[in-house]
Amino acid sequence: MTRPILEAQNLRVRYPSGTLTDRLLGRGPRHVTVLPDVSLSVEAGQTLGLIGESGSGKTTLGRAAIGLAPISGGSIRVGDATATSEDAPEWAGIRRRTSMMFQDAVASLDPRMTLGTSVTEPLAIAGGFSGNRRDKAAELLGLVGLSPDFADRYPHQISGGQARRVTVARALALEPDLVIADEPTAGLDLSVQGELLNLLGELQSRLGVSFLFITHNLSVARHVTNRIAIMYLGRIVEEAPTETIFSAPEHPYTRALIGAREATGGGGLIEGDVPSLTRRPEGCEFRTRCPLATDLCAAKAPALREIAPGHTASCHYAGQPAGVSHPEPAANRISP
Amino acid sequence: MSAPVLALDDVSIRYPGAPAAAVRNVSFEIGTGETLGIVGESGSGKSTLAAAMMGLLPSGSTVTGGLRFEGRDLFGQMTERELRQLRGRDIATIAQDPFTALNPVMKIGRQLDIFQHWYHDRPRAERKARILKMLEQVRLSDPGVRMQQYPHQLSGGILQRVSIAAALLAEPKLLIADEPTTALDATTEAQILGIMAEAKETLRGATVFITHDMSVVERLCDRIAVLYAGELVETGTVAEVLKDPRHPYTKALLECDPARIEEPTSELPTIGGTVPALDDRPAGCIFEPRCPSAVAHCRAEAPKRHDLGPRQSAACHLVTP
Amino acid sequence: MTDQTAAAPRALKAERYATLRRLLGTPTGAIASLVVAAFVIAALAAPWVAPYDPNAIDPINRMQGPSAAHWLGTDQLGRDLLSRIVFGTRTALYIALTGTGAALGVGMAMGMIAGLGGKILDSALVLLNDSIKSLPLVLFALALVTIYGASVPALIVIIAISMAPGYFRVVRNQVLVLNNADFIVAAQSMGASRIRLAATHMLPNLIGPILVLIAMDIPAVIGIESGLSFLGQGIQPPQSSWGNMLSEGYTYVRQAPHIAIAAGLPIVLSTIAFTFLGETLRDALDPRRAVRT
Repeated sequence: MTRPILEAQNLRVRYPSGTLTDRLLGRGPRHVTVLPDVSLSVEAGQTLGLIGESGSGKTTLGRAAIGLAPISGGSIRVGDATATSEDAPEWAGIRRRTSMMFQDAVASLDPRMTLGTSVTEPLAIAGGFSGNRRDKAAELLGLVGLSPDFADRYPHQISGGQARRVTVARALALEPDLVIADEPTAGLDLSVQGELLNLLGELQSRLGVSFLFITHNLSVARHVTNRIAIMYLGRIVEEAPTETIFSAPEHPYTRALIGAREATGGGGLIEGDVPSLTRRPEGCEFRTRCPLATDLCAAKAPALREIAPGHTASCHYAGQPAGVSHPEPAANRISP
Repeated sequence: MSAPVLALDDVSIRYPGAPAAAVRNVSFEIGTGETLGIVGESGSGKSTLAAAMMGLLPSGSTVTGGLRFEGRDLFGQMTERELRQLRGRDIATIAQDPFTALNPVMKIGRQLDIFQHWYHDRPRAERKARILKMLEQVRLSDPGVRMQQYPHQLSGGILQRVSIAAALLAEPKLLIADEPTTALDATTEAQILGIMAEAKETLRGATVFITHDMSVVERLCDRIAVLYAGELVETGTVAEVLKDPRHPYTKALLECDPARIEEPTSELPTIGGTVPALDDRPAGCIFEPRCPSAVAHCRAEAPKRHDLGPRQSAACHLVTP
Repeated sequence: MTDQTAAAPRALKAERYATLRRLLGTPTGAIASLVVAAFVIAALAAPWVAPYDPNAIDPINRMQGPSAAHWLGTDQLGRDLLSRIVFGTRTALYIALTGTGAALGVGMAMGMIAGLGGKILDSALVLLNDSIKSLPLVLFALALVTIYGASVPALIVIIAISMAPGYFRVVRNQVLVLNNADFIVAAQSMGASRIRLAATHMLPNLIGPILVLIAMDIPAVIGIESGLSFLGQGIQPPQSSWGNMLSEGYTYVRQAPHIAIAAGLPIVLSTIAFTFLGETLRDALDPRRAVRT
């Protein structure tokens, strides 16, 4: 296997918290650590799905991968460039070969800029483009199935699905190696969601671009990703090939997410809410909601370990045959 | 079925200044104890319909046809004052965004007490006990503590459970839930849907669920009404429609849902084209431009509703009973 | 999710003039625009519009009431009041535009630096602007005039200093909001420099609120100029200014009240017109009003 296109190693991201005076007086926590220690990699030409609920840190991880989050430890490598802080000079190079699609497609387009100017903006920033910008805009819009006259329109004049396509066109302007797509189907109707996903798949097979596909929707991820990483409270709790995640999930949280997708009313799945980032539970951070939690889970945090080749999970009880020392059989669905 | 709680008869709704009606010729009924799921994508008119059922259309909107609550027409026979009373007593809602649905400067317990207006002549302790019981029913931890808290101290999932408790306390004759889980996370959504399913036992009135998500309908509803571009294209029991959808749009919509596709695929089904604009509707069937099975006749004439059994009907030329 | 029909692409020309149409669509907006346009034309074409030389003294026709020859009458030296108002408009608008222009330049530069620079720079600039705002304007102006003497440039400096904090605050707040806007972060993710962010993305999105503030500020500047001139610390006679006309009219208010009334008229009219223009402009530029389905 060749070297992964994107590699995050022991990445730590924390945001300053509290007011200036609070921090000067040493009151309260000075930082909120969103990502304590994350490692992940995206293989060239492949799609890695990053799955989690709100507050899981999946968007932060996506932004950190392009230098838009305060990195306080670890590193991000894209291609041959490695960056270890938010203002590292390497980002300029990384941003030329990586692009980002934002959750809110309409808001990610400048309301006072024509779409033609928007899609070709990466070229203007990178410099060195000598061709006709109008022709290039028409070409990029054509790539995503939009007619050239969209170049003269403004973001508020188009539909959500069309705005999505425009952001895809912009993301591909510099022919990047990697696209970070943050909830690319958010706000799309089911009937057009498939079109967008098919378009991304087609572009991947044609241009060989890799995707970091951030979503909360496992059903979507199942069809469009090669591998899936599940995040909880800023940590990756399980990572495996997509089929394995669905056929043999090892972490109770993964099972709960899969269960939530198909549960019929009545039986509760997992109870409670995600804990606050400033009050992370001791031991295993999922134990406060875990139906299988034992004393061991409260005492010791499980490490992310390899359970099978290419399959990692951070649970003390992962990888054990059903019913051995496991309080519950490793069924596909959890019912307390 | 007993006399319907809510009956829509050929309802069309047009916003002031709009080139055409946002909802056209919609008819259906909801009986006591029934849960109806109204499904539609953007531009389907489902939110317009929800607003109309609450009598909350913007002023200047025109409504034709009959929208009757217990036999009385909301837009013909009722004054604004009567409508307000109706909304306070007989119709309750669960909103999409629980953060804005509750009063931010009032404690949860006090807000919930306002909702159980039927019981205001009862002693305080009894009213409080009733609220506590209801909060337990929606599986809220520490109900006593929650009653003393303000909305901003609680998470979205907990607030949505409070909203459900409020709706149950009101004992409405009609409960309208407008996309109540759209703003929530997957595991929270599953919790809320579970609670809603349990709450159905408590609800004596009729329930309308407005959603874009077929799986929500499948989990919670008895009957389904599918809207497309302001028109009712198919209605029937959930079991019938999901197992054997007859309208091409319903079929296509079910096929598009990635959660319903058993085998992983890289080529996802879609519905080509877009919803027609209000002022640019086709002359014939509204779905004809995007319909995979359209024939020449579809372009010429709009289809009527065809009954396909006692409770199922579809507006398509191609269906046969 | 909102229920709205897919945005149908409309004729683009109509869209481009939509703001103008909304501005002129309301009666107040249309009337205010008309009055402002009249003032601007009067200022630009003063020598051609004014029926007389504003400084031509006519001792025979002193303190005449309105007549066919002198529509607004004459002052204590027999000068035509209408002509003096027309030339006074020139003075008023000149000072208003240069003063607000200078305030805008200074305030905008500080606001951009505060919004895009670091936290310390931001705090320092906020402190500076709050200090300026806390100065009592009239006393501050009188002090400056006493030191440097009354002149048009002194007036402009006074106005620029006193008005700049308003622009600073609007620009800084807007930049802070825009800093977190998705399209700005998107531009950052493409590798855009800070200068590019400011020039290509922030500036065009700042124009709306700034235009409104300018329209609202002009009457205030006219007020300052008139006030200082009235106190004898602004425009010096014989140059005509609404303020010193009012001051002269005030002296003769018992014998010839029409002088003071004629001088007050343009002050009141321009203040109302610019204020209404600002308010309708604010509504017309509001994108939430622009999106109507």
